[in-house]
Amino acid sequence: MERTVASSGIGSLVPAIVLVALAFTMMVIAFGMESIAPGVHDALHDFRHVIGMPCH
Amino acid sequence: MNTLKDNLFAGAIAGALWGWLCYLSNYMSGIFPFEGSFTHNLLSFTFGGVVFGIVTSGILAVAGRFLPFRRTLYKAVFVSASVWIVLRLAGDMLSMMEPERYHLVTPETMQGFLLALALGAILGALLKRGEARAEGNA
Repeated sequence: MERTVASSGIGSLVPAIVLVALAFTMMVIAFGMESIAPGVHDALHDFRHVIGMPCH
Repeated sequence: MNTLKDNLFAGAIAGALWGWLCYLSNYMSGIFPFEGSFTHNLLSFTFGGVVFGIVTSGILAVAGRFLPFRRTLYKAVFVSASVWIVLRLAGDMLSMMEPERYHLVTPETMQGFLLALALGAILGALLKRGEARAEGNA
């Protein structure tokens, strides 16, 4: 069985926080949420289409 | 044994490779005519790929032990496809709420799903290689 998360300490907390932040970023990218990150729609427009996410 | 930090690092590398694979796949398939320049897309596909790769590998690190597969490769493909399907279903809901804003295109959907499987395959191969290297050093 893989040991994926350290049993204790800040060493595992930082990657976990990064992961949650990036998961939110992924949603912003996938749906082009301009209200949260202005410019994200145009910046990643082609990427969003290529990976099959809905766009205009 | 991979730590969460190791998984995130592998996810970043797999994601960058996957981003370039996405660009190449669409360039060859021509399903979506690129609107941005090559330089812009190189950066955006790399950035987007890294984000997707890290999130996929992070979820795999946290939830992988609960999946009904023994091989890391299968787990990675399953997680990657699941993340894509969840995002796509959310996109369906957005499309129903704002049909003039969110349009769904079937060829892009098919391509996206295959690319999601590819992300899992790349990530699984990298993680397996990392595990083998760690066992060799032990």
